[in-house]
Amino acid sequence: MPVRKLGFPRARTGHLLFGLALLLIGLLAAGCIGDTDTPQNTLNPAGEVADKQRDLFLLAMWPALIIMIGVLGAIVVMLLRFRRREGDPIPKQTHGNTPLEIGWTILPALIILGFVGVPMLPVLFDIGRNPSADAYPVNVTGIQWAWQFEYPDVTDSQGNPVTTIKELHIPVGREIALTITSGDVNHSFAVPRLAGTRDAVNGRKNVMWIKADHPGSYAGQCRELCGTGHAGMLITVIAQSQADFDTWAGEMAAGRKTAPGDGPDAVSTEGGGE
Amino acid sequence: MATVYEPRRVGLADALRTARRVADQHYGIWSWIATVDHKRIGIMYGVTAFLFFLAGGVEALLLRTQLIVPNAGVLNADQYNRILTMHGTTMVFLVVMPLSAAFFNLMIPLMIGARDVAFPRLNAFSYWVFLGGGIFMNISFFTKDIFSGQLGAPDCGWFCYSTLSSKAFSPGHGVDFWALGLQILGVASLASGFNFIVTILNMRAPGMTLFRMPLFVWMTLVTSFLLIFAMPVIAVALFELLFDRLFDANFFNPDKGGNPLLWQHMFWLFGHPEVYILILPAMGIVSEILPTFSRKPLFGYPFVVFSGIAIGFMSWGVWVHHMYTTGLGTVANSAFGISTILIGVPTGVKIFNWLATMWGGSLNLKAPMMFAVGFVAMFTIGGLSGVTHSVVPSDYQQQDTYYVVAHFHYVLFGGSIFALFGGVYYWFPKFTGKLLNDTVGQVHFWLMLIGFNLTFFPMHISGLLGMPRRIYTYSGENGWDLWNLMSTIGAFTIATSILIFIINVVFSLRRGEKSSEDPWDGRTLEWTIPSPPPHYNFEKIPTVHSRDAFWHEKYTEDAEGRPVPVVAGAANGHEEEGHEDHGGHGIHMPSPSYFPLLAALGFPIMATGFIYDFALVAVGAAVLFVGIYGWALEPPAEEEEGQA
Repeated sequence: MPVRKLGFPRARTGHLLFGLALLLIGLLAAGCIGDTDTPQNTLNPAGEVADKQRDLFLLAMWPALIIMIGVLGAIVVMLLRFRRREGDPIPKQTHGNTPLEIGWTILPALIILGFVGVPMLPVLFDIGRNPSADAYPVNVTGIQWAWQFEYPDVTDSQGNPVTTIKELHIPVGREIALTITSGDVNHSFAVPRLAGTRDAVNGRKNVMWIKADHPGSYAGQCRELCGTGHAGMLITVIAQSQADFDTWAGEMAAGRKTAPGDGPDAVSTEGGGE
Repeated sequence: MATVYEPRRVGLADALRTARRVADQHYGIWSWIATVDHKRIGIMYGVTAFLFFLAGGVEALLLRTQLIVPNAGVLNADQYNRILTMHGTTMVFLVVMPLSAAFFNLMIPLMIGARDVAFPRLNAFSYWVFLGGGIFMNISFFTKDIFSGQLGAPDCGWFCYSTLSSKAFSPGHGVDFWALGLQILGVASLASGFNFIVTILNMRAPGMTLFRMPLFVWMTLVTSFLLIFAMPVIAVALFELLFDRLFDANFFNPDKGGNPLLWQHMFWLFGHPEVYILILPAMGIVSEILPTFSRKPLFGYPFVVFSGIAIGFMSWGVWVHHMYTTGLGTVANSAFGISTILIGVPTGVKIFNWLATMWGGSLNLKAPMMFAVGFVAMFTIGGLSGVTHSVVPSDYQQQDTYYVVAHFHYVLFGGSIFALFGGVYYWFPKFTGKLLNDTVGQVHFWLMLIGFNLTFFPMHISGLLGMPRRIYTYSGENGWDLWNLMSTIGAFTIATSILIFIINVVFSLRRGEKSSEDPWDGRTLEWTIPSPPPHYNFEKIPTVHSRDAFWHEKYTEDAEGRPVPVVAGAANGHEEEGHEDHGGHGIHMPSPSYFPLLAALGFPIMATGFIYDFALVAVGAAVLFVGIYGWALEPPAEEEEGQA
């Protein structure tokens, strides 16, 4: 069949509107994800783990966006160019093209394995490795509906490790070894600017390491549906310089300081339940 | 195959008379209750699933209304969790699966040139079991004081993770209703899976080899195999959950040495093939619509078939990507990460083949085509965000955020639902004799497309900004408000488009344009028979000589290989067959039966018994037994008298 010129003058406004809408959403998205102020932004890392995760995401996202624009563009072009018009002949009945199809089976497989499959493996093993020997240990327990943090290296006068609720204190620039578990149902520990989520499962101990680059406070919350208080199961990570952290730990050990969130109101019972 | 339709010495006119008499045995509501006609069962599946779609949609609107601004007070956390659970469960098990089943029922016999499915009464049984299971599950809403805002529905999410699903953390009967309801629905899925496998393998018209089957038939076959292998897995998991809840067993109880992760493994070992159970029929529908409306055969038919089969196999090897963050170890995560990347390949092949089908075609942009093209576009976006999930370390960040919600709605709504609506616009005239109004259909399409993208595209962003799933409220300082506002506006836009669709259906049924038997210049056998088709579908079982059988009856090629219409009266394969013997076949149609309904009724009674009073279990079992007993001993159709 004779190849027609692109029929843009006869384009339906709907297609163009749709294209424009997509473009607008894309621009808005780009603008707002770059907005670094939101407290749980996964694309604004403040620690080594989150940093690597962000880089990998972008590595996969850009080719995905390019392919998306390519496919959607091809669809719009075809809708304009091959739209049936009065008196059109019946098109040639092409049944396929084996070399072409083998090509678009193998090529994408190689591209995707090369682009994301291979690069992700070293990162996966690095993030998933055991914490280094000098990592600072913290035991994390999710309960309905609060996070409890136990510091085995900080003991009070009776020799019991001190605990905080909702607030996790860590020294900056040092690996933290988190041992995550649950006291009841599944929870998931997520502080996006430091690291992706890790599940807290009753009867299991999940170990992950995180590291904060700068002093500051980092927000997170439970990611796994855990009952009526799920939305209120917040986390604040307070990252301090080693000196400040030691001071805080000393005061905690001496019982001179109680962490905010301690006391009878600590556990949210929001929502009522059964 | 020819032996199935062994010719008897019966006049065609006599045979038709008999078939009509069987069809006319019952009128009114009874004719639907006792029907074993695949077309009527298909219509009942479709209408029921659409009603559940409205229910699930209202649930979605409630959820979206609660999330419209931070700290809204429309629903409390308890109501939110229950409605959330029912939205997911309804849309997966009571909408997309039965809507696909509706199309299996309506289309498979017509597309393979058969008069009904292999087991018509089993088919009716599937439908009634599905209906009972769906109603049973939704009744849970009313088991508490709903008028004071207490909902009794399950509250553990559609995935119902242990240990939240245990009696200790989900007291009340919600989770029992959920587990027993799904168990019942599984029976329906198994029955229909076996039925369509046997139908497709055994009931094809003479000449219809496997590689001449329309693509929708192929995808139905793959889906049916997935069903019969996947449903037992969830059945086992549900039985274990029920043992834990009803009899204090310890399958998932960590305090007694049980393992909560066991549930996750079984749920997703079922759950990932399930995803393809939801999408493969949609792919089949689109593979029918695109060629018809492009006036070209499907590009690379064998590639599309084999990529569908490959997806079916590979779907069993990716379940751990739902569990990356449970701590299974880096080697397991890498292996399943790679398998997840690879399952994207056959999916990509299909997209390229659909694009190539349209390329160089003569695109008739009627409503069915718009929905099919919309499917390809939206499914591409969903597929690509799926590929970003396969990158394990970065997925740790997106796990359980709205990014995931965006992804699977692009696949299941932008994918499945768009294709299913395309199928409705495409085949509506075949079963009603009326065309759906195309202008209104275009409005429906564009509004739904815009509403869909407005709802779900912003969820990618709220997800990347760290918004967790399944939270009933959020604080304003997270920067999620704008995106949630957009999503809520989009949800109501979708709702509006659905209203337009309903109006279109009602209006078109009453005074829509009458449809010919072949309104779209179709390529497959269903377009060779009247609209609506007679009870017995085909007066004479067709003989198939090629893929796109009907197209090759209508068009041939001139000397230069250009397709041209067949001159009226010219001989071609099908006509020749017709001339040999007009007296060919007797038409044997199955008789109506109410035993499938009776048997199906046993299941919800038994399930109610497990929750409230074990005596009822015996009653339900008795009903089931009587139903099956009567079914087995029912006399066969008395078609013999017509041959006198």
